[in-house]
Amino acid sequence: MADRASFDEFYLGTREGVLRQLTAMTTDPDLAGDVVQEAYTRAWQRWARVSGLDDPAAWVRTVAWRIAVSHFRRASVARRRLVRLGHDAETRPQHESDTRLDIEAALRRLTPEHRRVLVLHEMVGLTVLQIAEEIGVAEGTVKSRLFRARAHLVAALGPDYPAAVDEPPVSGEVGR
Amino acid sequence: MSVDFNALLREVADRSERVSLADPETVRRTGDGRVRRRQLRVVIGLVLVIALGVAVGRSLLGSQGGPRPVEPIPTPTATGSPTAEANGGPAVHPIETGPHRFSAHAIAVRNGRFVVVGDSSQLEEGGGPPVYWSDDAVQWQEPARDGAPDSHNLTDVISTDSGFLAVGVDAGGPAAWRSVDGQTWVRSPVDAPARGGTDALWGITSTRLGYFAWGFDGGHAGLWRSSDGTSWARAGDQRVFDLPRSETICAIREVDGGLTAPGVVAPRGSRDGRRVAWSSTDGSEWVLTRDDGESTIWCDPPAVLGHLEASNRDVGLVGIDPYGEGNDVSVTAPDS
Repeated sequence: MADRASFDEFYLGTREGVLRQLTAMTTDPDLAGDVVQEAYTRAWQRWARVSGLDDPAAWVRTVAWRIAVSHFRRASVARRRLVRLGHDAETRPQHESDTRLDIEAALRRLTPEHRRVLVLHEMVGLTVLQIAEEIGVAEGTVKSRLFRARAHLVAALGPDYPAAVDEPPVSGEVGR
Repeated sequence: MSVDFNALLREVADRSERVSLADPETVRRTGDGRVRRRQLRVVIGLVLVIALGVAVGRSLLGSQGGPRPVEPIPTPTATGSPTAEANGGPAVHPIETGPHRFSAHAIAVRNGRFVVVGDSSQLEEGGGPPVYWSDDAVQWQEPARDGAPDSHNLTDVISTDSGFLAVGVDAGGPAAWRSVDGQTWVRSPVDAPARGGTDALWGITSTRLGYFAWGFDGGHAGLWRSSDGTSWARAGDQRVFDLPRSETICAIREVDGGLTAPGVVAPRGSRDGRRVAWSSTDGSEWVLTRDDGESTIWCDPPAVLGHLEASNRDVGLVGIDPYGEGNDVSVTAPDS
């Protein structure tokens, strides 16, 4: 019973934030909803262990990301060819703002791993070291990805957006 | 001036506001259900092993007037596996896919030949073959030149009396292929408009009423039927699968009196799904027979529904892991 209560408290307290993070990582809210839901289900199946982790939400976020990557791969061929055929715009909700569509389009031009690192640093607020631990790569790799992600995003946004990515501005000072 | 990356990301994250997640009880119930099913499979497996052991013991000690020396059990020959386990567990052999990634989705065997299908699409460009074949489950081969399916993503495969049938997705959406030997694959026409996107065939099965494949078409669940696998037509009036919610067909199963298609429906943009079922006596006329089943997030996982194991007498039980790195194939030798 205590397990249920603690899981429910954890789930209700963290699901919105994790969903927002995965939505930014995937640029697809429906996919994000699916993978976040699945990740929390797996968390409950292993709650005795997951609840003892320092940051159970990070575990859920990582599992959700891995599931999302699998979805990316599954759908990527058809989706990519659909874009080439010019049909992609038909699948977008028409009420979306131009600004948001521009940002999403720019984000989609990043690799998934670049988006992930960008969200973890800029949105979740993890330090480079924390990101390296969460995704299992070296700190230098995180810095490199962060720099490239920012540069590519600025380039993808186009000249209407102010660009200030002229150095590797990666620091470890951002707290959680 | 600098770009406010946080604000940009928050703008995109705001789209999640229209997504509603399931209540905690549904999440827990879904997880508990999986655990129960896993435990049930373990119990059934143990019962089968014990029953087999008793049967073997009786045959050895039976009518010959007493126990006889038992022939030594041959040691399985080393197969060059990089990760063969010494404790009698399955040996794991990665499929060599060269520069291409490959995530195995399903496996089938016919006349001693194994076929694994999966997703070889790259995140950025191109991809490798979506199918590999092997006669020993250790050395895996690509399809013949010009004989590979024109896709990077096959989702399911079964064996038939005349070869293999596979389904998946291509540039236009739902797609199907057939092969006599697993080396050369031929496209089988699927009755579906070429919309692409998330439209795809996700599963295939063989029944006494013919072959059935299911997936998404036009954003709705779709069901296709084929008598011989050479072409696929809609299985009856598809409007029965088009509910005023998002719906999914999870499988096709034979039951007394016909077929049943378990599925999941959920309000659009919601994860609060319910189990549903469609039924048919002839495979052509389908009716929604259950629309208020227990709450669930979606279909049972591949470990329950997928074609993840195949076996033959010489090689033993061969399995793929849908949750693994992707291209690992485990082999449990017949003697282990």
